[in-house]
Amino acid sequence: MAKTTKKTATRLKTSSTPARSASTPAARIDNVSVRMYCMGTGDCFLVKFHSGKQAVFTMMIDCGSCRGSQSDFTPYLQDLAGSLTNKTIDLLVVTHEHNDHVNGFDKCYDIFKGLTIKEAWFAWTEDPTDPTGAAAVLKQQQQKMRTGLRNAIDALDKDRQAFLADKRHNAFRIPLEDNHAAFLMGLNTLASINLSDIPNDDKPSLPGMRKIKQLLAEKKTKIRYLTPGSSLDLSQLPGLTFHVLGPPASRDSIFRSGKAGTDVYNKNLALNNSSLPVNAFLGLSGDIARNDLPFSSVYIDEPPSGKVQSPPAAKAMLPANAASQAETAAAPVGKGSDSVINAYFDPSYDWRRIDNDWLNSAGALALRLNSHINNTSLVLAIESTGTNKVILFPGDAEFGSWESWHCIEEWKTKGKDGKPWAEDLLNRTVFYKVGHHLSYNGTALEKGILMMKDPNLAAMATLDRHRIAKGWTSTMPNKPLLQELLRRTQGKLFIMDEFEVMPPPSSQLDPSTLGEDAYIAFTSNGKLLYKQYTLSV
Amino acid sequence: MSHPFTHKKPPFRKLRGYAFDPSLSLKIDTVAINNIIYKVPWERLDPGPAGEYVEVIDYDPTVKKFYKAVDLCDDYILAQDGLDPSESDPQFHQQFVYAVAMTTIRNFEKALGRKIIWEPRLLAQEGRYEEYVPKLRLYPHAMREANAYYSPLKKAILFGYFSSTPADETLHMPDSLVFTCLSHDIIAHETTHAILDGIHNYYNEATNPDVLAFHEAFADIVALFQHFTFPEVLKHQIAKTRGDLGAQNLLGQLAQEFGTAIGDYGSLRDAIGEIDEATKTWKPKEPDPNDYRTVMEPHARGSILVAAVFEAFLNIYKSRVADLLRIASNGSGILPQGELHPDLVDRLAGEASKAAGHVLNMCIRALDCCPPVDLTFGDYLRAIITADADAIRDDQRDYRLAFIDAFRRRGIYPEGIKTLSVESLRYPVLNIGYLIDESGKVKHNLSSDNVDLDVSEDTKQLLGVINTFLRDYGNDIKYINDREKIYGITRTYIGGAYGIPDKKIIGLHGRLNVKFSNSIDFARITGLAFVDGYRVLGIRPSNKYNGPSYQITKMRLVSRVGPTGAQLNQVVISMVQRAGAKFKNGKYEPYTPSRFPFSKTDDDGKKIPEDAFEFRGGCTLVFDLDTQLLKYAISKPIVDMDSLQKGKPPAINRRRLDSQYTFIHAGSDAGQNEFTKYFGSGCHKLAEPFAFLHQI
Repeated sequence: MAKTTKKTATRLKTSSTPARSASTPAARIDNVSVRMYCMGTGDCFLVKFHSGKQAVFTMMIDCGSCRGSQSDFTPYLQDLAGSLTNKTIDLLVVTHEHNDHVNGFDKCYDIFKGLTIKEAWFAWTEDPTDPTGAAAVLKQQQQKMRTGLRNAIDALDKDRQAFLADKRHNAFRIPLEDNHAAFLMGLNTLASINLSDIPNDDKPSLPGMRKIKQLLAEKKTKIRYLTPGSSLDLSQLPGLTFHVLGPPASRDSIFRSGKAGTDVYNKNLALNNSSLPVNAFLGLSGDIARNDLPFSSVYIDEPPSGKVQSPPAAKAMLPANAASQAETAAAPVGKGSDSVINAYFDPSYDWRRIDNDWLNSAGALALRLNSHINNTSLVLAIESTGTNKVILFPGDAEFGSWESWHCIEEWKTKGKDGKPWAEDLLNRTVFYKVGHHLSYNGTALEKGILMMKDPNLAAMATLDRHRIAKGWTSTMPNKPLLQELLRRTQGKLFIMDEFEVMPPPSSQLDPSTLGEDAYIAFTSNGKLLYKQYTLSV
Repeated sequence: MSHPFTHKKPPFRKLRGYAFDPSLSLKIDTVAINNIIYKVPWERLDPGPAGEYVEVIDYDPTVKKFYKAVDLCDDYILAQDGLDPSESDPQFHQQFVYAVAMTTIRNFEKALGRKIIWEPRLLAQEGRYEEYVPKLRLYPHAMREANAYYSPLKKAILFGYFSSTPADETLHMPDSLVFTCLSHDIIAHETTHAILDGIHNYYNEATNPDVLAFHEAFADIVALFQHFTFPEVLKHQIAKTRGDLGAQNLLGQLAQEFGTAIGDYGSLRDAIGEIDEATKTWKPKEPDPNDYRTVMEPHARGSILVAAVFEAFLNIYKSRVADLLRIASNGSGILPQGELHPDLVDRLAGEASKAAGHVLNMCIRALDCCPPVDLTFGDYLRAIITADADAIRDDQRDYRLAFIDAFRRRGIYPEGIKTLSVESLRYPVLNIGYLIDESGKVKHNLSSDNVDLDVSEDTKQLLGVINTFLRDYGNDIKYINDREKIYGITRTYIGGAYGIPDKKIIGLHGRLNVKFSNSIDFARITGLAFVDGYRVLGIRPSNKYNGPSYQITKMRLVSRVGPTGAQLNQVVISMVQRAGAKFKNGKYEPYTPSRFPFSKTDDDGKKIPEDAFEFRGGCTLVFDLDTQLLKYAISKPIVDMDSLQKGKPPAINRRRLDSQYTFIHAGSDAGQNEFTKYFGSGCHKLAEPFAFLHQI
C-alpha cells in the first residue's frame, strides 16, 4: 500500500472543544466499529473510534427508515442512547433530507432531547447563510418540486377514483386499473421518502430535518456546513482526517445524470426540465394564473370559462357563434375552431381525451426530485494518515456526485501518480457504506466500485426487504452491483436483512466466523437490533 | 365552393416546414436546407387541420386551454404555401404535425399499395368486438415533458414540450422552449408506431426482447429514410464534400445528426457510427456480433437493427454510384479539386435518394411477410428477403445480399435455417392448392414445391376453394377508395354477413372452421391447434362453431407492380390463437382463458395466478390470387410441430412458451428503465407501452 501522506489544500484545524484540546493529547485511534441499526431500509449508524479497547469518540450518522412508527424505532434508539458514554454524541452527521435518513429524529425526538450533541455536520446545501446563495436556490426549487409532486399525486388520485367510479364498459379496465395502481404505488414510494408524512404540512423541510435542526439550535450545538474539497482534523482523533467529497459545489453536478447503461438509467435530470411541469402542477392547486403559457395569448381559444372539466356541459355551453367570436378577437388567421373543441368534447369520443395523461410527468418529476436530494448527500471519506486506510460514507450520493469527486479542482492531481485524489481514496477504501440501499444509482461503476481495489474491503448496506417502500423492491438490490460487491469484498458484505437477496452474502462468508472482535449481530428480546463491524485503521 | 370544370383538383397541398427541427434554422450553413416544402396529397380539410386520416386537436391540458386551430384552406395561407415556419405560432405547429404525419402515411401507402387503416378500437363486448377509427388524433401540446408517444388506447399521438437544457448550447438557447411536435423525426417516428399498430397490433406486446425493440427501430428507420428522400438536403451536403469520395460517410454522419437535434431521439442512431477522435472524421462503427445476444434495453437493441439496415443502404448506395465516380474522375478515383460539378451533385443526390426510397420500400413491404405475433429481428430479415424476392425477381444490384450481410455482421440470425443465403432465408414457397376455373371446375393439380409438407388432396382442394373466396374479396375491394368501406367489407369477408337477405356471406372465419377445425394438414401449415385435442392445450372452444377458437386479425389485398413490371396480386391473412398458461412452482399448467382479453379469471371464473399469461401463436398466410395457390405460411407455432404426427397427442410449443415465460420474469434485469421499474406493472402488462418506452 502506498505510504504517501498527502497535504490537502484546505485543511481545517478544528477545535470544537477548546477545553479538551488544551489537555493531554489523545491516544492514537487504532480501530473503528461501525454499527448499523436495523430499523428497516434506511440509515442509522453509530461509529465509535477506539484506541485499544477505549472508545474515544462517537459519531452518529443519520437516523431514519422507510417503514415504522415511533414505537417501532424506540427499542433501537434506546439501545443507541444506552450505549453512549455520558449520553454524548461527539459528532452528529446528517447526510441529506430524505425520510429514510432523518425521520427517526422526528419520531423519537424525546430520546435525542436527552442527549448531549457536541457538534453537527451538514452539507453546504443546508447552510441558511450560504454566501453563494446557491443553497437557497436549491431549497426553493426542492420546495416547489415537493409541492408540485404533492399536487400531482392528489390529482392522480382523484383521476383514479373517477376512473374506478366510472362503470361504463371499458375493454382495458383491468390493465388500466393495474397500471394506475402501479403508477401511484411508484409515486407514493418516492413521496414517502421525499415528502412530509404529516397531513397538510407545507413547511419547507421534512419533519425529521426540521426537528433535529431545532434541537441543535436549542442545545446551541456547534454546526458546520461542509463544502467539497475541504479536509478536517479533529483534535480528539489524531491520525485521522475527514475529507469532504460531496455534495458537489456546482449545481450542474447535482442535476447531472450519467451515461445511460453504464452508471445510471437514462433519464433527464436537468433542473430546468422539471420547471415547466412543476409550474403546471403548482397551478393545480387552484392558481391557474401562475401558469406560464407557451404562446402569446392571442392564440388562446377561450372556451366558456370553467367548462373544460365537464365534457357534456361544455358542449352544450359552447355558443353557436364561437367562430365569429374568435374572429373578432383578433384571430391571427383562420376561422374559429369550434369544430375542434366540439370534437374534443364529443361524448362518443371521450375515450380519446387527454385531460389527465400529462399528470404522468409526475413520475419523472419524482425521480428527479429524489435524485437531486440524493446528490446533496454529505460524502465523507475518513482517512488514517498512518495506515492510509479509508472509510467511505457517501450517504445516498448518485452518479452526478460520484463523478464530481474526481473533478474537485484542488484535488485533481493530488493522488498517487497525479491521479485525482478521489480515485486515490477509493483505491484505499477498506470500508464502504453502500449508497442508496444497493440500488443501481447509488454506486457509480467506473468512477466508483471498480476503483475500490483494496483486498480488505468490507461493505455495509442498509437494505431490508421486509421493511421497505414497496416501489423499491424492483430496484433493490441491483443484481450486478450485488455481484460486484460480493466479488470485491469476498463476502464481507453485511446487509441489514438478507431476506430475498440472492445470493445472500452469508452463503459466501458466514460473518459469525469472523469472530466477535470483528463482527457482532446483537439481538435483544428476539429482535435483531444492530449489526456491527469493527476494522483496524 | 364550386370550381369551373377546367380547373383540376391540385394533386398536392404545399406546406412549408422544417426538414429537421427549428434548431437548424438558426445555423447559417443549414438554414437553406432546413426550410423545405412538404407536398401533401390534396384533401378537403377542416380547421385543425382535420382531414381524412388525421385530426389535429390542439388542446393543452396543462393549462386547460385550446390554441386556435389553423384553417389551411384560408386564402392567405393557401396563397403562400402554408404558414411561415415559426416556433412561437401554435398554428404553424398544427400545420407541421399534419404535414409530416401525412407525408409518412403517404410513404407507407406508396410502398404497400393500399390504404392505411388505423387499428380499430377494441371494445371486447358481446356482439361488438371492435370499432372502426377513422382518424388518428394528433395532440401537439399534450404534456410538459421531453416525451412524445403513440397511445394505442386513444389512437392518438401525444407530443410534449419542455424547457431545454441543451447538450450543445450553441444550437439551443438554454431554458428556451423545445417542442417535440416541431421535429420531423419525432412526428415521423410516432406516426409510424401508429401505422404499425394498425398492421400488426400484437407487436405492442413484449413477448421477447425483440418485439418492442423492433417497434422502435422500425419507426426510426422510417423517420431516417424519409429524410433521405428529400433531395434538397442531400444535394447541399454532397456539394459541401467536394472531392471526398467517401460521401457514404457523409450520409452516415448526416443520419446521426438528423436525430440529435432534439435531445435523446438520436440515440438509436449511435450504433451507425462515431466521430474518430484522431482524425475528427465520421466513421461507421464496427458491428459487434455479441450485441444482439447481450443488449436487451429496447432502444439499444433497436439500434442494432437500425445500424444493420443503414449499412445495407450505404452498400447499396456505394454500388449505385461507383460508375458515376469512375466517370467523374476519369477512372482515377480522384476527383479534381474545387467544387463538384452541379450535374454530378444532382446525380449523386438522386442516387442516394433513390436508394433510400428503395430501402424504405423494402422495409415497409416486409411487414406483409412478418408473423403476426412474437416477431424477432431474424424473422424480419426473412420477411425483407421474401417480400423483395416476390416484388423483384431479378436482384441485379444485390440489394438482398446487402441486407443479409449487414444482419450477419451483427449476429442476427433467423432461427431454424441451415445456411445464410437468399434461397434459405426466403420463406419456402408452398404453392398448395388447386386452380379452379370460373365454373368451379378443377383445372390443374399442382403439387407442392415444398418437400417437408405432405398435404392431402382434400386439403389442396379446400385451399383452392378458400382462394376462390379470396378472389371475390379482391375483386370487391380493388376499386374501393373509402377507407371505412374497405374496413367494413374486409370485416364482412372475415366474419361473414348473416341476416342480410341479398348478401349472405359465410365469412372466412367460418369457412376455415368448417373445413379445417380438425385438420392435421392445416395445423402443420399454420402451426395453430386445428386439432381434436386442443382443449388440453389451454385453447378455448369457438363460440360460434365447433372446434378451437382463433382470431383472424387482419386480411388485406396486396396489389403491386414491381419495377420490372411483375404484377403481384395477393391476399394476406393474419391468424392468431391463444392458450392460457399458468405456473405452479414454476411448472407449466394449461388453463382455458376467458372470452375477452385481460381477464384475471379463467373461463370458469376462477382466479388465475399473477404470473399466468395468454400465450399466443400466429400465422401469416399469403395467398396468390393469380395462381390460386397458398404461397407462404409464416408461422409462430402454438403447437409443438413434432407432436403433429399421426398417432401422437398434440402438445403445446414448450420451447416458445418457456422462452416467453423466462423473458417476462427476467424483466427487471433485462433492459427495463428506472421509470418502468418504479411506475410500471410489469413490462408485458402495460396498457400504454410507448409512454413508458419514450421516457427520456
